[in-house]
Amino acid sequence: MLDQLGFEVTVAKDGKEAVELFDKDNTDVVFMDIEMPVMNGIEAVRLIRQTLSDQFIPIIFITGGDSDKYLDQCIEVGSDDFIRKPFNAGILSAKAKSLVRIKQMYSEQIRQKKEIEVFQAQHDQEQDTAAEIYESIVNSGYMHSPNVHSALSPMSKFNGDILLCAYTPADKLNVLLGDFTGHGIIASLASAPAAEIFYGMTDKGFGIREITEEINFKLKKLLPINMFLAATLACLDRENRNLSVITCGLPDHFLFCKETGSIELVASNNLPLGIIDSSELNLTEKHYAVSSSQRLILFTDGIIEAENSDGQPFDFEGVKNCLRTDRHSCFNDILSALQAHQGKLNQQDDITLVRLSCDFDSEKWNLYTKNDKHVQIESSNWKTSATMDFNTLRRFNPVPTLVNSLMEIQGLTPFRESIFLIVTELFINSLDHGLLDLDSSLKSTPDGFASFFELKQQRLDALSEGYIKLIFTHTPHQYGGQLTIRIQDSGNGFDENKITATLIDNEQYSGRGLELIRQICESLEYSNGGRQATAIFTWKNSS
Amino acid sequence: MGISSKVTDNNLTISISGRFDFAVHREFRAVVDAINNDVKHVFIDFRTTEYVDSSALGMLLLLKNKMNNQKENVSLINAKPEVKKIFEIANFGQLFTLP
Repeated sequence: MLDQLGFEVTVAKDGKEAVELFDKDNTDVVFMDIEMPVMNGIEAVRLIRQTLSDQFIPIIFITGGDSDKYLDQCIEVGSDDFIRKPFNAGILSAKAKSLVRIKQMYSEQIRQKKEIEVFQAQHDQEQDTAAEIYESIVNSGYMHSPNVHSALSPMSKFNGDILLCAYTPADKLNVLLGDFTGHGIIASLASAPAAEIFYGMTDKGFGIREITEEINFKLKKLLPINMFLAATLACLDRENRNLSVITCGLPDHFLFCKETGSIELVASNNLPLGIIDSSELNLTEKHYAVSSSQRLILFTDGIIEAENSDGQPFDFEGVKNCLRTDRHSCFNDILSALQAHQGKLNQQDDITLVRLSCDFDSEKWNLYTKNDKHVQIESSNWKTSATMDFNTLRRFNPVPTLVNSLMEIQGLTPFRESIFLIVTELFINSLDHGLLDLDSSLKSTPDGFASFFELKQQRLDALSEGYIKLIFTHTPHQYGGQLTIRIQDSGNGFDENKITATLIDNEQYSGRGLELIRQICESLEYSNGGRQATAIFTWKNSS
Repeated sequence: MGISSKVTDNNLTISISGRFDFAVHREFRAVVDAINNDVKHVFIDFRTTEYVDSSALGMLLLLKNKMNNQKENVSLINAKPEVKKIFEIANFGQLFTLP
């Protein structure tokens, strides 16, 4: 009958022969009798099914007489259909065709499943490799700091959140916490340029304002219109006991004091980065005079949006409650409270929590060490100078650029930290006390630093005349060289002894400012009523 | 749930109900793409919006770009306090007209 319908038929006389003859690669459908000598149909089907792994071949039992009692067993061993004797060609043909069609659909599905599996494996492998590259770009410049505690729990390999941390040559700690629009690989892609800028510029001694502007500039160019980076940049300045913060679109942070329990809100007051041109950005930077017991608690929106089983978010209150209940171990408390809040729910967003501790006594500070590095530099004669007029001074801090150009002229990179400190200190004194006529005793009042900065900004904006000139002269010297740094300004002059006094902290640490320059330099002299300073820095090649 | 839009005179009003996040990206994009030169002002009505995420903020930037990047051309109205808070954090008052 099946022959006439166009099927190629193999006939077996009993179950045993059926199992032997069965060729799974060339069979579309099996018709099986139940009661047969040697081996019955049920046993034969059980054996045939065992040879098929994920392959599907429809099997139809032919029933008749009292064989109905076997139906349950037939189903159990994997029967796909039954056909009752006697049957005609029409029924047989219809059943056979429909089952062959099911077999084809099934095979197609298996094929697609395998394709997906291959694709998935390839995808996983690519993700692993990409994650490795990402890791090395974003984290290669990361400097571990005892002042920074963080918990990042990514939803997938790639997190839209980034945390960057590094010290400047002047020993200021720069931290960036950011959250890109969206998640996963797309959100992470843009982390690489942001990280490169952050580490490169921090290493060169740029401040967080310049770094923020540069990251914004780069991201504005790179990112599509609907993507941006919400971020906060913070700079912890041990010398001045100051915390500067630029907040760009992350949820409010908390400045928390573990002694008094006070919580000060640090709200976002700038646009996220990568949306508008840097020239329109008009960044607001906030300054806080901080003590060792203060901590800045930063987080991305994942924490406040984390929902419990009733859909209630953890919210700012959740974080605040933790800070209120236990002032000392606030970091772990927030994490465990968050976990308790979420219960068994899956994490919905990238969750990142960072604690920046303003503890100035931690061991990492004072990276500066005397110049005992191994160096072999050919010393030469050169002189260079730069004059910055009031317009330039209003717009940017020239120190990092100048110091880096010195590095290129003479290859003084091993001494960059020292030279950077000297130039920064001389420049800031000339600007603050020479041109801007600011009184440094202002810094020692409780809100001193903030008001000092505010006044500085006001006077800078109002500056309509004046200049600062820097002259660098280098001469070969016994076994090395000598760099003379001379600074001149057009201000009213100042008494350098007053500045020295305020900058030295009487709490155990050695004090920076002019005192430190005197330690690093061969000599430091102020002349012309404070309008000119000359510092001589000597370096030696290793013998 | 979803996005509806209505044009009266030269004003387009887009209403978003429920969650304004990546899930409605296509729908919102379609409305933005359909904006023609006759539309002089877009009001986005957040009266029934429960939640706004950062990709939604990105969509608003796309819309603003379509409206010649002019702050005056796009108003974000009727936002609930939670949604308003998100606009404040992002300082979107600098980019959009907020009541």
